[in-house]
Amino acid sequence: MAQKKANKFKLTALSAGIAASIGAAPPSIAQQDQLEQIIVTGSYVRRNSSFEGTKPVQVIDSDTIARIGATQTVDILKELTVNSGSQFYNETNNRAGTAMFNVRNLGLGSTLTLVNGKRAGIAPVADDTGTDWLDINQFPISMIERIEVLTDGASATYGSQAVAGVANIITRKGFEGFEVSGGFNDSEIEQKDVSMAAGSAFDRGSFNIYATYYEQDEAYRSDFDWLNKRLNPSPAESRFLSSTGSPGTFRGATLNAEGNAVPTGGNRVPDPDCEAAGGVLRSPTDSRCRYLFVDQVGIISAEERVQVFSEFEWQFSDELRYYAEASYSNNKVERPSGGATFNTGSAVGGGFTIPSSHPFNFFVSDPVNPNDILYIGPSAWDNSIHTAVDLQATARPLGREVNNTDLTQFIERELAYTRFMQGIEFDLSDSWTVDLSHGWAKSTRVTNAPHNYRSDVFQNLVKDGEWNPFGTRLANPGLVSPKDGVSFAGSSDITLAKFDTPSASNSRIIEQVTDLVATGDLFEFNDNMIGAAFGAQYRDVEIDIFGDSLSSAGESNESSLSGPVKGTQDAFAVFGEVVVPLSDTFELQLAGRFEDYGGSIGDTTDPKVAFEYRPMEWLGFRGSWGTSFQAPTVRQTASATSSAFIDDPASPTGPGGSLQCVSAGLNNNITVSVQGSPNLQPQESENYNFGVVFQFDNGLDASLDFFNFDYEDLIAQSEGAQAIVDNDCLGDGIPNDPRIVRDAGGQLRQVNTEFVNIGSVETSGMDLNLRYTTDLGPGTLFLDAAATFVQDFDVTDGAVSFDGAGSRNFRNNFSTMPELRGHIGGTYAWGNHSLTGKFRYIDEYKNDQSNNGVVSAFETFDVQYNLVIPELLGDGDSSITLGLNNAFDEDPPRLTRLDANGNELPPFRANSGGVIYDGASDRPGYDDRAGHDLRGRIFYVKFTQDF
Amino acid sequence: MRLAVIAGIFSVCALVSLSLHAQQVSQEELDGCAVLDSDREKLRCFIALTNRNRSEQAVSQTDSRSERMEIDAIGDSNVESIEELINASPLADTPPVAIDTSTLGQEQLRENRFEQGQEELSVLATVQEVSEGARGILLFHLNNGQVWRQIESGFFPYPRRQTFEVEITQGVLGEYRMRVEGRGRMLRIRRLE
Repeated sequence: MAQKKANKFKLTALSAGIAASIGAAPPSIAQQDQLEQIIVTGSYVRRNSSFEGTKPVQVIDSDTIARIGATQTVDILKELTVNSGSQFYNETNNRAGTAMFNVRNLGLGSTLTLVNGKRAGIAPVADDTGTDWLDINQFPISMIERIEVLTDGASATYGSQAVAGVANIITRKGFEGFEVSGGFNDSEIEQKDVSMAAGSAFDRGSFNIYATYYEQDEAYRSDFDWLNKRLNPSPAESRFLSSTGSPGTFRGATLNAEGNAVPTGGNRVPDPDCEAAGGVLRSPTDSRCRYLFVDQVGIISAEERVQVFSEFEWQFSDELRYYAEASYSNNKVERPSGGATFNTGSAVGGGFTIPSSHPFNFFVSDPVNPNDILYIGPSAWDNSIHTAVDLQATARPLGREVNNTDLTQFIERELAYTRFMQGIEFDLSDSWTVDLSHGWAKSTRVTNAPHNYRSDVFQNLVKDGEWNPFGTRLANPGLVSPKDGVSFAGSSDITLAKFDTPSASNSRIIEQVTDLVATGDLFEFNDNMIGAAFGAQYRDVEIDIFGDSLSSAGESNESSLSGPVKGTQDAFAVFGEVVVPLSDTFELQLAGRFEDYGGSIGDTTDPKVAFEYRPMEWLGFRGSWGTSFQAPTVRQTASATSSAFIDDPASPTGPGGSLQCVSAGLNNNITVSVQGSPNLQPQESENYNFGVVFQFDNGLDASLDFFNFDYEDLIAQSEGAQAIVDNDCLGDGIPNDPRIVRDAGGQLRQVNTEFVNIGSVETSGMDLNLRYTTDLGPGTLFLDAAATFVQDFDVTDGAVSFDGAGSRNFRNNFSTMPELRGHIGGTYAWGNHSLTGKFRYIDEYKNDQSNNGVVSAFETFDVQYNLVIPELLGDGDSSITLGLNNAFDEDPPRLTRLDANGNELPPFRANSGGVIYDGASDRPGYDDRAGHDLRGRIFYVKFTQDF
Repeated sequence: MRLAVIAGIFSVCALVSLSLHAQQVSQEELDGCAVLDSDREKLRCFIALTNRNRSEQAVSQTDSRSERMEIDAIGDSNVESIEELINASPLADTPPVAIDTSTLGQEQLRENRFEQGQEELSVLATVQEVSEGARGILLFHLNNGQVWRQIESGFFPYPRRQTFEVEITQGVLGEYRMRVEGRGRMLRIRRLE
């Protein structure tokens, strides 16, 4: 391609963002005349390699990935100071096993992630705002040559989702050879991986294939000492107690015409065998038998992944090239499932019915207060003088026997990704090239979960006396009922199987993208050639969600969530871009895109202007202004469900155990069900960036960039689940909002809400990057530092405005946003050795869930040694790496709680002046959205062999 | 004069290439050629040694390639063209040395395919200078005019501000690799020019 005099921009990397990589060695002679035509992330116009773009791009190359001890793609996120709010462990929701970029904390769907510059599918799960993202855990880390992160809005070039920026995963295409590696990580969990990369170039083409097998085991809450100290010091003081226990709690009742219990309003009595059968009493006078679910769910799920990625290209002629990519990934995510709750019993007001005739019902009416009940017990029972009463029971059918024991069953989720992309590139003329490609990507998730009780069957088994819901079932299974002389307290597996069934649900999302891009030279201007790119894109998305059939029919123990969901969406776009060198030192980029979704969503037009000015060899300036958007996803126009931890201001502590608003209630994990709307509009952003870049001859490179994003019409729930629950009490003081669903024990279970365009966020701050390379003694020293400082993160949610910079953002839809993230470190490499050290810092922030208690800063130190041994096995190199991440074993900071006066609360549950305080840390006791690694000190070893 | 020049060039070529196969041709034999009186006789002697060596290494195509590359590095002359030159000279009545054709196409014979692969390519070369291409990829300029580029990004240590020797080898999948002075860490490379 004839790029006349484009060489005038000769300074390598001056115009580009300073690489986060520390792997590139400086040339011995600074000649930079080898000019290739390259495309950089953020532009379709081919430029000379000496000029790498007007955009701020952070690059993480394979050397950096190796030096930070990354085992999986998600580990790379900690190197990006611009990334904030990605979710890593997802213990309580359905996103476990997935990972995503979240630049500037603008939302999980606001960073467009590409593979080799093209869209690569959509994850089969969503967050509670229904946004889409690309699951980066599906890619084998062995395929990554580098990741270019454009920290600038780019919808003018790429379309929807490129609001905060673009993360472009670039593969090792053209890699030749064969390489095998294996690694082992030891921390709170064990992680193992085996990878391979192979490639061959032949006369007219090349083929590459990469594969990784990865597995990790699970970790339970009780495995973490720091978590036990914060939230689980003993069963009675634990913050992981449910008031719906197994065995349960009973109240006197009468039976209506249908044979269902109607509570008499009398006392609640916990099962007398509560503790003997594995339940928990907070105190001897506790009115409920509780269930300890501390290890019902693992914080870190067990995962087993197989990932394969291949790419191929073939040169038919000098003018025509064919290329293709094919990939498959499968991730089995497993977490334990304890005793599920039972929310669809037949008792009026919730719970299930136990008739007086049940052989192990030893409760009688209290002669002093007939509405109350008294327990007689089997040893004192006398049919001639005792008459049992009907009961309303608040209990879960299975408890201790399936809670972290050999009988524990697992919820298995299988995430599978299949993708195929192919295209042709042909030269229209000497200076114009056309690229036409089509990609098809399917993502599926299949969930199999145990303990999906058949509601009616269970209730009838209890009424018939065949299933014993009392504590005697576990505490004294050999007990023969004195009431009938034949029934045994222990229930059989045959009986269990009648009502305990697994559930199965699945979701599938298919994305097809067709891209047409023409790039070339327009005409000469001021002795420089104006480059241009034009193109079009058609994108089609289909989603199918199939819930469990029993649950969808309302016949399981969980409230029916929704029936099958099917949604489709397509979009057509055209775009154009020109790069105009106005002089030898000033270049302008203009871009614009029109994207049409049809229907009520409509269309959006987004322009962008960027410049680069280089007055001196060592100094350059860059800037941009543009608009970007994120279209409503197919889920947002259909529906979405997720789970969340919610503070409940209502508690069943009123007269007769009725629900009343209190000042400090329980923290619950609930289901949030959000209905979609076809009338949603795209979220729109306007942003500008300005930066200055330095490149000195002594090996020092630096850049400083200022950013500002103004993001409006954010799609969110009309009212957040937490706000709905809070406002229910703030209104008339009576917890009666129909959108809130509770179980028989008054425990919060589900909140229903809907998607609307509501809210905005404006954020600004700066990024600093430094790199210094110098010869030192027999080797080379690389130093690098990066930091992102967020000055503002002003969230407006309806009528409420809030500065989210330096906040956990618990009460809005955004994630934790520390004001400062940074790292500084270096590598010294000499001969075949290298030693790396890196210090990482995540600033403190306020916990807005509990009166802005300060969550401490998180400081960690990583160290690594690498040795390359030539020709140890065969002719290739062997590489051995030993490392420690978080070498000083820093625990994740706790979520500090304060009372209304700003005083820190006592460490554990306390009752002071009639107000119950639930300890010094909010659940879950840590914040994985901040990037606080739960695994503690990680020792890792990796061996790589080249053949 | 021309013959003397040819003999001189060829002797250097032969010395270098033959030195790579010192086990097959002894130093005594080389000295024996060098002390011959006439240039024509010297030349004929060296050619005979080379051809004998080639026939003994009949299945080792890589050796031949090594010879050619080594000779290329010096001046793009090869045994065949020198022989043509001799045959074109007034001494053309001297019978040309027979070229061993028994190995012609041998690499296509199935039974030899893997045997040949076991004899690996190994070439020594001199890096004149190192420059930087797109995204920091290193470009190695050899003193024979060839330019090779680093295939993947990553740190690669090499002697700065000086020329240095490298060994270029070929891997199991045909890719080329380079080591500094034959002992450093490996770098995958691809030829540009």
